[in-house]
Amino acid sequence: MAGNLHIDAHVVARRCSVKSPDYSQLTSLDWVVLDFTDGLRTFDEMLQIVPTNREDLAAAYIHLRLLGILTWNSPNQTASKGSYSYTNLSGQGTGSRDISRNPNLSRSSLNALRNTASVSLEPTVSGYSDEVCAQYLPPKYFTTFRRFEPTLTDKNLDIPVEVQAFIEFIHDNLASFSPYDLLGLPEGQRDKAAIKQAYLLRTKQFHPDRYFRKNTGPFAPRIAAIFKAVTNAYTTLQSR
Amino acid sequence: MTDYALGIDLGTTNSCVAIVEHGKPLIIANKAGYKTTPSIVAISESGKRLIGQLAKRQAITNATNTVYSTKRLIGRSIDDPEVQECMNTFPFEICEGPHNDVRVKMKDRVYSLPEISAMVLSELRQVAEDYIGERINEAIITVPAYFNDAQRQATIDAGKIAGLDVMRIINEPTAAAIAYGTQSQKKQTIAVFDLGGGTFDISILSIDDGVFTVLSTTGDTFLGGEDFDNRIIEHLVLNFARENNVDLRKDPMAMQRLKIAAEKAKCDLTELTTTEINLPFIQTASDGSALHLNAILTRDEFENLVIDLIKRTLKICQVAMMDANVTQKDIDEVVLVGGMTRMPLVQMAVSEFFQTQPAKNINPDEVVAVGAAIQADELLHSEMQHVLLDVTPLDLGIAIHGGKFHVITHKNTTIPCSNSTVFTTSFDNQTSLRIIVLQGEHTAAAENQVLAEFTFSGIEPAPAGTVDVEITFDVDADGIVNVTARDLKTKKEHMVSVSRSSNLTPEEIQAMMIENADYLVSEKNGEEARNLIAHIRSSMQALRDLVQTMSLPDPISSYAVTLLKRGGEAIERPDDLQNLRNVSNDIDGAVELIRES
Repeated sequence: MAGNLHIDAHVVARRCSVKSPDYSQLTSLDWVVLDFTDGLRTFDEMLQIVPTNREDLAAAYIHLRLLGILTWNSPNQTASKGSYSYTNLSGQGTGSRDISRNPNLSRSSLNALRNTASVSLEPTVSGYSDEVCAQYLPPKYFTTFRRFEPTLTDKNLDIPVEVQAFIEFIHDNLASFSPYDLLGLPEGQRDKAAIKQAYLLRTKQFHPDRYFRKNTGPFAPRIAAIFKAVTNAYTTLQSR
Repeated sequence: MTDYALGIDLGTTNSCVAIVEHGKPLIIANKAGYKTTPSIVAISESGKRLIGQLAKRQAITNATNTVYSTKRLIGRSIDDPEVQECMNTFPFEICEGPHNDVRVKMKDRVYSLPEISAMVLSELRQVAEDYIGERINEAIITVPAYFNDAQRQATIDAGKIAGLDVMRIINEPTAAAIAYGTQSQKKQTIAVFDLGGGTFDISILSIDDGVFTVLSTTGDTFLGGEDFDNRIIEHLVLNFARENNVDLRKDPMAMQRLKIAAEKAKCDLTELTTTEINLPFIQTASDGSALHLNAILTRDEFENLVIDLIKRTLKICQVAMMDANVTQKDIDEVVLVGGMTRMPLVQMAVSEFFQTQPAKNINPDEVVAVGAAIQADELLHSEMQHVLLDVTPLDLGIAIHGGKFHVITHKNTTIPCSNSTVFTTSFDNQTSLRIIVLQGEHTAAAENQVLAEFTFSGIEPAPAGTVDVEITFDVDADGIVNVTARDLKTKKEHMVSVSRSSNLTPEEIQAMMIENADYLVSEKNGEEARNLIAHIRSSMQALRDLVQTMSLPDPISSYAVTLLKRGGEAIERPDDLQNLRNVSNDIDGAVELIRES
C-alpha cells in the first residue's frame, strides 16, 4: 500500500468539522500529526517537524482524511487510477463544532470531544470496522476491500454511501466470489438453516425493491446482478 | 407524490380497495356502505355510466347493456376457446377488437376490456379519495397468480386508463399471505387457497424473518364461484325444461334472473341446509299462460352438483405442493381467500386435504386488498419490513427444432433472475437463428404464448453443431423479461426486451385515459350542478318568504327580485356551473343580510 502513497509537498492540511470520528483507530503517529496540524504548515514543513519519513507521513495524512478528521484541498483533485482520488471528499460543514480553528487542540481535548461530536463517514473504505464489513463480506475479503477505491460513490443517490462501496466492490468481484462468499458464509458451511438465514439477510440488502423507484443511478443494474447471483448461490448451496 | 397508495383487489365479481393509514391497513367502504364493490359496469337508458351496486341493481332490466365478469376475458384473444364459451353464455355482446382482442358492446358503443376495468378502478379510487380527502395516484393491483403476461399487461392498461400509476401487479395469493403474515412473527409455511368469482389459485409460501418466499403458485383461470352458480343454473334450466318443455337459455332476461337467484341460493346454502328459488313469471308458455319457476335446493343436492369442481381444486393443490417440494405435514396454516371458500364443503375438503384447520380472523373478501395496500405502502415509503420474493408464474423459454418448447427459466423461479442455455446451429453454414420467446407450460411450442420473436443474425458460416449461441433470460422484479442471444466465439450480442404485449396501442390507452378523465369530470360537475340547483331552489324559497313577510326597503326588495330572476335563469342552464355557483352565493348572501337586519 505504501508504494502508492503520494501527497503533494504543498498540501496544507487542516482539521475538519467533525461528528464523533473513531479515534480508537488512530496510531501514535496519527496523533502526533494531528497535534501539529495548524492549517498553515505545508506537507513539507510538517516533514521537518514530525520525526518520520515521507511515506509514513503521507499514510498518516490519508488515514486521518479517511476517518474524516483531516482535510486539505488537493492540487490534484482527480488523481488517476493508482493514486487516491478524493473528488467526492469534502468533510466540511457537517459538524456542529469547528475544531480546525483551534490549532492548539490537544489529544486530551480531542478525547473530550469524542462523545459529544458526531461525524458523517466519508465514502472511503479503509476505515470500515470489521463489524460493518462483516455485514456484507466474509472476513477473507476485509483487507482487499479496505484497499478498494470506489469510483461510483455519489452522495446524491438514495443509497447510503457506505453501502455504495460494498455494492461496487461485490459487483466488481462477482466472478471470483464462491457461493459461500456471496452469502458471507465460511467455505463448506452445510447447515441449511444458516444458509437460509444468510440468504434472507442478503435479500434485505440487495433485493431491488429495497430501492423501489429511488435514485440509484449506476447501482440499479449492479444491485439486480448481485441479487441474482446471491439467489443462484443460495439455490446451489441448498441443493448440495 | 402523496402519502397514500392504493391496494386494489380487482376481482371477477367483486372488487375491494384498501390503504394504509397511520401504519394500519384499512378497507374503505363505498358510498353504499359496502366494503366490496361489484365489478359490474352498465350504461343506463339515459346514457349514464353505472358502476358497482348501481349497475348490479339494474342488471335484470338492462341485461344487454350490463357487463360483468370481464376478468375472465381480459388479455385473451377473441379465438380463445374460453372466450368463445363466454360469448354463448353472457347476455351482453362480445365482439372482436382491432388487435384480435376481445371487446364488449353497451348501448351501441364498443369498449375494450381494460376500459371496463378502468371504470371499476376509477370508482374504487374515488371511494378511497373521498375517504382520505386527497388525490391518490399510486396503486398496486392484484391478479391471479396464473395470469400470463398479456393478462397482466391488460390489467396495467386498465390502471393507466383510470389515471393510476400502477406501481406493480402482484399475485392475489401473495397479497393474502402478506396480509396474513404481517399479523404474526412466526416462521412458517402457509398455503393460500383462493377460490374467487372466476379463478382458482393455490400458492405455497414460506414466511421467515419478514421475507415472503413464494415456493410455488399454480391455479386455473377458469374455475371459480361462477362455475358453482352455473351448475345451479344448469340444474334449474334442465328441470324447468323437463317440466315445461321451454328452454330458458334463449331468454337473456330470464337467464339474468336465474343468475342472481342461483348466486343467492349458493350463499343461502352456506348457512342453511335447504333453500327455495322462486322466480314468478319467468317465461310465457306457448299457449300464452305465464310460467313460474319454483324449486327447492338442498345443500346435499348442491354439493353433489359441484363436488367435481372442488375435487379439481384439490388436484391443483397437489401439484402446487409437488412444485414447492413440500408435503401436507409441512403446511402450518391454510389461508382461505375468496367468497367461495365460505362454502362448508370447500372448508371441509380443504382442512381434510391439508390436515389443518383454516386460519381464523381473516375475511376472505378483504384479505387480498389489505395485503396489496401493505405492499404498496412499503414500496411507496421504501420501508423494507417485509421483502417479497416472488416467482415466475409460468415456464419461459424458446421454440427449438422440431416444434418443441425448450424451457430456460422454469416456473416458480425467484425473481429477479437470470438463466441461460447454450444452443447450437442445426444446419451447415447457418448464419442466423430465429428466436421465438414463449411462455406457457406445454411441451409443444405452438401451444404456448408467444412473447416475442427476433432473428439473431451474423453467425459465421460453420458446420452444424459447431457454433455456440448462449440464450439468456433475465427477469426483473416487475416480471419484465429481457432475452439476450450471444455468439460465444465472436461475442456478438443481440438483446430484446420483451415488453409485455398489450392489446392496446399507447395512443389508444392515452385516448381512453383522457375520455375516462373527461367523463369523471363531467360526472363530478353534473353532481355539483344538481346539488347547487337543489340549494338554489331552497334558498330562493327562503328569499321569497322573507320578501313576503317583511316589508323590505326599496333597494333591498328590488335586489331580491333581481336575484330571484337570476336564480330562475340559472336553474334553466345546469351546464353553466360557474353561474350556478355565483347565483347560489349571491342568494345565500342576500338571505343572510335580510335576516340580520
